[in-house]
Amino acid sequence: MILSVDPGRALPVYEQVREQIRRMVAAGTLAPGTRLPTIRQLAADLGLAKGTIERAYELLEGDDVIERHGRNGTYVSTTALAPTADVAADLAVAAEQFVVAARQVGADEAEAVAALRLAWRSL
Amino acid sequence: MRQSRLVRFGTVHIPRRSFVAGCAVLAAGAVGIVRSADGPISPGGYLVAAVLALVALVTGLNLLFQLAGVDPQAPEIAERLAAEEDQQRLLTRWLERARWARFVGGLAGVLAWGLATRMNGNFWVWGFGGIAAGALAAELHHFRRPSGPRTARLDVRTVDNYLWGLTARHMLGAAAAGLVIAVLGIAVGERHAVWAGAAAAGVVGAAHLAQRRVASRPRPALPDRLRAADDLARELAIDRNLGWPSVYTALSLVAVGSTALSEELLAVALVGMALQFYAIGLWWRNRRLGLDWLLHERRDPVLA
Repeated sequence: MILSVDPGRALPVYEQVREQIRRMVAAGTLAPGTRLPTIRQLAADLGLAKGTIERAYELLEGDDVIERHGRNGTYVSTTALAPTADVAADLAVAAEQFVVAARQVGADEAEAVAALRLAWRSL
Repeated sequence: MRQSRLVRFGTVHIPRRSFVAGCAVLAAGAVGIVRSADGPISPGGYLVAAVLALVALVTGLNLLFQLAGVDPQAPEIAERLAAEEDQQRLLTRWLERARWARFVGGLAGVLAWGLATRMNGNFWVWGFGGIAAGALAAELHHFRRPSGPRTARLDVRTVDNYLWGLTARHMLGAAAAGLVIAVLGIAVGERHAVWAGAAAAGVVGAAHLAQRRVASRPRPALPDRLRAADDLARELAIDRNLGWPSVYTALSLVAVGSTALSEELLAVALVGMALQFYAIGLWWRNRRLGLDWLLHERRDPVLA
């Protein structure tokens, strides 16, 4: 379960975090009841201010995606919606974006696949 | 020759048997010098003096190499902890930093004991306190925030994931003992006991805060093998580098506090003395992070 943020994108970073956690819950990769890292830890891991993660968690709590139990931690909501995401469709969108980026820098299919394999193994 | 049969001084390797024999010669020489101290120095006395000078030189070089951060055992220990090269690199870097900081901290503590207190303070408190301070310094380094895109895993890391139960119980016990001494000090009006007891609890508290910080130290998304090595480094940092030094430093402070209570509460002072010996035993087990035994055993790496 990997999060990736890019402060250079137009979308605010807290929205990027919110969107990705929502997607993982919707896809079922984050099951109901799964414990999430503390604000302090996730902010440190992503090199972000604690307020950014705090905001993302607040919005997710408002969406009923997560439940916060104070010092006892933050969990994926037990009342979160059952997985609805279409994994194949999501993958197709991501693959299309990747192929477009690869072609824009002049990579051929073999180079793009090799880059994909390398990134897959390094995460 | 097996590496473990060598005693190392920086890049110089001395067979362990020769080293032990050298120490025996040194001891015999010391006896000879003491016996001949009243009369003129015999030719044998000069020989003994030469041996003493050589050992002093080797010891001094060892100190210098360690001060310079030369730790040839760290890569060897890392090899016994992890199988993959990138895991070993990660662990070696951590081992070198932690062992150097503890050494320098301990040395500074002993020097402070000698110079600042003119050897009137408690040697163990200063020495162990130096090690604990060095361990803290090794773990509390600051990471720069990355720029550009960054990744992280949604895994939960808490102190409980890394701290062994035995260490946790010792930390709790040492802090509780400190508080008991402080309360007894208040009851009998002995200020030294109050300070020493409060300091013992404070040392454990500071170590716990540092442990929490190590657990939540930044970690980008890593492949599984590096994540395992990083987890092992965190476990060693939280348990062996921060946990145990706080325990034996706190127990030494408890011993100091209980000694201050000896006139009013002799039994407490005796318990304190026993705790001091126990603390020395814990330090002995934890010296150099307590990993040197790995050098003497052929075994599969912890992280296969």
